[in-house]
Amino acid sequence: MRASMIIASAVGWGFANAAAIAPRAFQIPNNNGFPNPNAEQEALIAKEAGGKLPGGALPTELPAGSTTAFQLIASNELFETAFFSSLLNNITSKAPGYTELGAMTADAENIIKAVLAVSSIVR
Amino acid sequence: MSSVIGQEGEQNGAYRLFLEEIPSESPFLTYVPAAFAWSALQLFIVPGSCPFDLKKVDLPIFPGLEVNGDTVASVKAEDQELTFTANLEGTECAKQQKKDGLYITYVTGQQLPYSVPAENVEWKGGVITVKAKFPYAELIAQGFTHASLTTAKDFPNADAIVKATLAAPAVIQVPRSIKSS
Repeated sequence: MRASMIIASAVGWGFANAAAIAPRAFQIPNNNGFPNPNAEQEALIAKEAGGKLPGGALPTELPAGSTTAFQLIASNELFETAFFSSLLNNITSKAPGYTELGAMTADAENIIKAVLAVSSIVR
Repeated sequence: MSSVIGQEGEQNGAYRLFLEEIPSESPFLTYVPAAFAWSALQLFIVPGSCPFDLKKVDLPIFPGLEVNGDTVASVKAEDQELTFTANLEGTECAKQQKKDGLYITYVTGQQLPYSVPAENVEWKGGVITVKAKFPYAELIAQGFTHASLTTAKDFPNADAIVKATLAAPAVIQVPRSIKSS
């Protein structure tokens, strides 16, 4: 179980200190049924993410430790959804410290929206 | 699973370019024991907000280890001394105000864990502060390294660290600019 991907995917962590609980300024995607989209919503997410869920039959048994591994991964993807929603909000609302992108701002927004869809699908 | 990993890697390279860093931070990404990833994730979760009882996940949650005053430290690519802090209030070590037999154990890339003695150990109530050498040159610790406060050294692999951990993970990042130095 490659837990390194979790840390590796949060480059340059700017930490929101969990102890300072401020009301959330950003919205996690809630217009697409996340975290339990219906078939139509799932199709929309897949389009934004650039791909559908894996095909083929589901495994009939899993090795020991799989439950824990999937719980960790699912938690991480949920975290990523919040993290990237927050980032997208900071960039689009031109929050202090998030205005350096200049000409790349629109591109960055597109990238983050795609990543958000990817996090939703992987979860 | 590996298709997800590859995708995360693609993202990572892109973000690093935004930060004007070389996309591949090191030849082998740093291995993180599941318990450390789980502990780190708790920093982002508002306590009690999860409808699923997080204690049901079969992984320990360690007190956080701060490095140079924060959970993440960006440091230069050279040997240096780092300062680590952890709130160990309520633990046996805190009660004993333990000063000996403590180590800072680094994991970078896929290398064996590397432990150094925890020096200048100080306690303020249940909060411990130690200093330790960061052996950048020995490990070529480019990119991401994590550190834990441990009661043992000489671990055969990163997962073995978990049983001897008091606090973790401290995140150390050595940036690598795309500009030639």
